[in-house]
Amino acid sequence: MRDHSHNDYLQGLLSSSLASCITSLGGVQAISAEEWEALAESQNTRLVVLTLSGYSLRCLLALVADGTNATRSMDDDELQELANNLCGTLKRQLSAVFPQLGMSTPNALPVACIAYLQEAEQLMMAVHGVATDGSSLTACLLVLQADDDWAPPAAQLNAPEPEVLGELELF
Amino acid sequence: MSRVLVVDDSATVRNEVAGFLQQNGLQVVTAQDGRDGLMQLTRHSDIRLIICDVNMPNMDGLTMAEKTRDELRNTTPIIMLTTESCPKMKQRGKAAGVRGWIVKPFNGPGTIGAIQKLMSA
Repeated sequence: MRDHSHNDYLQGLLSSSLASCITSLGGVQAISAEEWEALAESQNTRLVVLTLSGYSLRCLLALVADGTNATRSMDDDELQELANNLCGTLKRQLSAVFPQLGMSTPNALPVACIAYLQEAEQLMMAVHGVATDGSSLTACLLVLQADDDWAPPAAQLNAPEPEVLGELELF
Repeated sequence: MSRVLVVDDSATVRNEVAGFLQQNGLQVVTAQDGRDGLMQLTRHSDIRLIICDVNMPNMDGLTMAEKTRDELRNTTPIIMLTTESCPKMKQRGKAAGVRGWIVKPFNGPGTIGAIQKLMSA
């Protein structure tokens, strides 16, 4: 479970999911656990958390919006919808490995909860991105439990398939 | 005048979808979850299309679709607008009479033609 390829796979999915949800993002970079934890102390910061769970994986997805003016112009509902889209994108990408995942609705939590979220995690990865308008967002995936024998699909490592979004599929 | 019912727990999505439909001459009523959606359906007999999220508190969109067909005996076309794309959910939607599926974000110009056709069918 703590193999580099697992970490790289999840990190790649988290980065690409964040980048696909915020088209104006200038770039996404990985941040350390210490940098993530430090967000709990920052002022005017907002935290939204969703759960992604199934019989073979349980994890939390957290999205933090910092206190800069550009990020604060996004209201709470917009931030929660952004977190919802991020979680949905990640869930679709993870379905190649974990096909039976369910996701929650977004929950706004005090940013101080970051310290408690990490207490139960087996594996965590966090990425940070700044949009062209100056909005600054950090996403973190905290894996609480996963099957011991799961393996990232080698061909898709860090290169998830492009998705077609927004099109109406008629039945 | 016929209406579209937009059901989503996010005000951002409700406003975006409702605003686009209104700009295209359609009347809209909104609901914030499946339970509220069923209530609006019983209040407004002129609803001709439902655009509905899947993951919502109180009652999810697929349960609302099933109750619309089975309990209200209402066959208004339903389009799901959601971040979900798993085949099992789509299958459950089809079984409940859902007519279309959109993975968010909402692409108004790309779907307005189909929306108008479904409303006039």
